[in-house]
Amino acid sequence: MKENEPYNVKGEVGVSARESRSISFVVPSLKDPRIMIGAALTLWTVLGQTSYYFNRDAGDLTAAIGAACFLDLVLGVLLLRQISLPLSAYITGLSIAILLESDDSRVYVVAAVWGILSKYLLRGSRRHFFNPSNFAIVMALWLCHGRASVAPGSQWGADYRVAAVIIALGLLMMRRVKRLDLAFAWMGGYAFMGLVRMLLGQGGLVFALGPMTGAEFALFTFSMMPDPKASPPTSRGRVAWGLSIAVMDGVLRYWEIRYSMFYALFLHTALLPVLHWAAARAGVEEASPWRLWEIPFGRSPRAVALASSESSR
Amino acid sequence: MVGGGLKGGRPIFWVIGLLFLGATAFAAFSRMGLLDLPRVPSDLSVASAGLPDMEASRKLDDYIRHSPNIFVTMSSALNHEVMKHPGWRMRHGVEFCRLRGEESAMAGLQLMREEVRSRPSDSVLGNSYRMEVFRLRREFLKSMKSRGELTPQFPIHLDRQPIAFFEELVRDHPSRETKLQLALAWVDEMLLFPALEIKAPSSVQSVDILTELLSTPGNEWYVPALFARGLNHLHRPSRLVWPENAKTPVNAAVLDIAKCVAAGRKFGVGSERLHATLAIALGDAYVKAGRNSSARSWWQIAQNLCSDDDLQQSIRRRYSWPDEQILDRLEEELDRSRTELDHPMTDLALMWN
Repeated sequence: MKENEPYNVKGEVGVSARESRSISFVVPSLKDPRIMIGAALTLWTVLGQTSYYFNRDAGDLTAAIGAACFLDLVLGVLLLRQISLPLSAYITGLSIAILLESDDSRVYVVAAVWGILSKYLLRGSRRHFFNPSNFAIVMALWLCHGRASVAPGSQWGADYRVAAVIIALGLLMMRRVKRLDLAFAWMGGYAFMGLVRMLLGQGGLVFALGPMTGAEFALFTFSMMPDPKASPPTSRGRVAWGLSIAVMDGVLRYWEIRYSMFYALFLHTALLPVLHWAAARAGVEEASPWRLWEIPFGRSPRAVALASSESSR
Repeated sequence: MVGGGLKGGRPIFWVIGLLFLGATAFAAFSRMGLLDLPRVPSDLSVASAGLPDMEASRKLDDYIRHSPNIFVTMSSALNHEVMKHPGWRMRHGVEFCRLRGEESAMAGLQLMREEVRSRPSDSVLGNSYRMEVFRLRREFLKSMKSRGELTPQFPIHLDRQPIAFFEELVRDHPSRETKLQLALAWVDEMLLFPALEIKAPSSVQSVDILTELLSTPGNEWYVPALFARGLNHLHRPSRLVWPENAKTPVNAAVLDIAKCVAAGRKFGVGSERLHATLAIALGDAYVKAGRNSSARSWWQIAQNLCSDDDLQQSIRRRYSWPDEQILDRLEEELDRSRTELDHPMTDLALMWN
């Protein structure tokens, strides 16, 4: 068995199991950064249930994670001929369960289904372009007839030390997934737009920059926005992308439009296929940060192909 | 191109960028401050803000309301140990009122009035009397309702009470504390009789008294009155058109409640629950002013201030309101809160408990 090599932007890798029509088993290696993201989200949820008061209903958590993982497994087998450990789906389901708020458990299931379906059905250049969690949340907000909202972003009990640790860990994760530039551009742009909104008379410093210490912002910044499949491949592109999202978010916030950052990211990612196409024409390539093992059934270990990363989030 | 590290760029651009950001931050902070709250006068004292020793108030309130059965000591009618305690008549009055029968209630209220007259500026005493009358009137209305009485007539000891008593007290002792109790007595009336024809004039009476009180020099930052007037504005139906509407700016509740929050932050008095309650009320007031994002920010501050389950639930409810329904949902929530008469919103005990 061999761990996958960086693949080019077209997603063309060695002999994939899909091509041979045999089913393969795909698991992330321990170096896969999604393991860190998944672990961080899990720790986050455990802390929320025990120490900090943003506890979520266990039934809703189970519904969102269960629906996302189950659908991801089924679609992986049907469409990619892969039985993948649904790590990406777990992250998607958990993000949905943490961020969404509804008194109807079906909303969590439907949102998770939308998120996973977006990954398999809305694709350009052989890859999805919406972040599944972002897609799920925006769809739930738009289509659930007011039954869904985004949960109040807990500020970690107003303990700035916890917020500082979260931001530090988040930036470390961004370094691993090579999205530090994007995180800095977005956070810097957000802070600047917050100050501009203050200058225009929209609230004090706590209102403008306080959300940056909250759970909602951290999840968005460190889990949703830096999705390698749903952000530009070049460093300059990512900086411009982060700043552009921040400007749009700031304008929407100034207009008192709720959930502005989710909408801003959604609208940006909707345009991503165009950017990917332009980048591909310019010959720009990006290595996948995902690290996977692919184990085909019924074939000798020698014949193991490099994983295609098709099942990444 | 591979990788995500930040490349160096020209240092001069970084310096210019940071200077620009710093200047923007300075200008923004100078304009709005931390929380966009009114500036508290530097010479404002705890006493002039009406936030005196909360611990002493809490102890007196506990003594009056949650005492063990004092009729053991009442058996020796002139027990000197009991009579030494400030507020003993109040405590006995409460106990009398809790006995069955009109005579004991009359005697109890008489004792309480004597106590309030002896210290008219004590907010705990005035509040206890008001709350006891409120309870008795509410029980009377309930019993009349269960008998099918459509136009109940209060017995003599409850008729026009506590308004009549506080009107008399204001005439004899026109202090800000007695005026506050009178204004709150009008709100009590409004809570007991939610019909618009009683609610509206009661609210107007209350606001008029509070406005006169707050416009007196030295009382501009009298927090209990500010909060009472702010709640009055907050609880007025937004879509109701009445003559006073023209006089009331849309952010009237914000202006009053924000002052309370600013004074509370300056002196750091009161429980976490009180601060969270104020923050929720300020958030609600921002909804009335049409500033939903500021409203949510204040609710979020409240969420961080107090972990009591009922407060957390009420914040979660507020967060689930979509923008297009937020005003209607808030008014439903406020309507509900006015019907919670076991703990009426006019009970000043919220301040010291």
